[in-house]
Amino acid sequence: MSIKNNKRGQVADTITWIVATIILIVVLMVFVFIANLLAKTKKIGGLTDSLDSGGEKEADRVEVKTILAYRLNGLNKFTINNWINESET
Amino acid sequence: MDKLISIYWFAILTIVAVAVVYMVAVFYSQPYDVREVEVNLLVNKVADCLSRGGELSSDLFYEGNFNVGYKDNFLETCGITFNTERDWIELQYYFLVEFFNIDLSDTGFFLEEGSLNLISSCDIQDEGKYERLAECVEKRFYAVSDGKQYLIKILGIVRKTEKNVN
Amino acid sequence: MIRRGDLIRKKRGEILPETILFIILNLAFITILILFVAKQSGEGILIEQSYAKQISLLIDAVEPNTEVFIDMTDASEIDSVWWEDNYDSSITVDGNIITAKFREKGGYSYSFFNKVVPVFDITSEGELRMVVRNG
Repeated sequence: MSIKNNKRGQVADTITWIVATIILIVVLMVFVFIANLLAKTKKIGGLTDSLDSGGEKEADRVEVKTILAYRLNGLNKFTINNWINESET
Repeated sequence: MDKLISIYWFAILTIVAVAVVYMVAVFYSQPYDVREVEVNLLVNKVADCLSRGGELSSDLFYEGNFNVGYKDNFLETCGITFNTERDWIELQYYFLVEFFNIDLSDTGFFLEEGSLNLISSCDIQDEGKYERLAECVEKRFYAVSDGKQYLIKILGIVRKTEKNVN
Repeated sequence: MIRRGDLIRKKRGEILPETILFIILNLAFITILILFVAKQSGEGILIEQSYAKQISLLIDAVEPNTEVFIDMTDASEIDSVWWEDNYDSSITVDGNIITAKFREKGGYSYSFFNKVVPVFDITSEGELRMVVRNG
């Protein structure tokens, strides 16, 4: 009876080690994955070169040219805006 | 039993050490990719050269038509240089400026500088497979000249892959 | 005759050195890993790359006759001995190529497309003053 009990205890120990090893490897793989993701954040984007036009949306440097041109000639705004916005789709 | 645990412990330490070294190598070996900022600055620079205060530069025109001779020294006129720090075979920059009438018809006049081979990099990028080839940006704006309305499209491309991508 | 005290003392003698050795080796391992990561993060090449690209992009972005101030204190700390003798040549320009060098065997270059002439003035404290003049 006591020998049987001892054997159960040894099997439980072995499973504990295996599970612990698997957990360790899984955790390491998660960290490696996170490191890969963080490496991609080294892409510097989003040029913050913008001018506050006083509206809700900040205009970038090139957009300001359109805004200023409208003051000189505001005709065909609908056509112009549609054409400009085509590039954003 | 103790020896077994020691060997196991050594193996675990080795796995952890390898994982840490790999993570560090992956993260710190990746260069900063500043091409998106750079290509935006290039397009802005070209746009500034063509148009100020909503008006196209008078140098673009000759006797009421577009001045074809303006193309010859465009880089010099706008204060742009495509020299780079490495002995790349091809130029690492490209831009194309197209002018359209208000009825969206092409005026036929355009300005183009740099390596034409970079244009295909933009098409491949759209497929999402080869994002690292080059950075492309297209900007559009409106300007006037002598009462006429013009639509201007600028495509800018910066390659410099070796300096910005691992 | 074995006394109770003898057994206790004998057991203490066996366990303690092994445990201490185990803990010391593990601490050494962790310390080496931490030092390795810290060394990589403070690696000069990253900082040189960062400043070379930052300065190049600033030159591309500004109009002529613009003055820019940059705090490069972290650059001065990479190799303070080298910095003391060479800080005034840590940022150099050759045509349109910026080179940032903050240690003996280092240096990172990046080009800018704006046809201007940047002029640099660097203090030993790591303050950079850059004036961009017409090319």
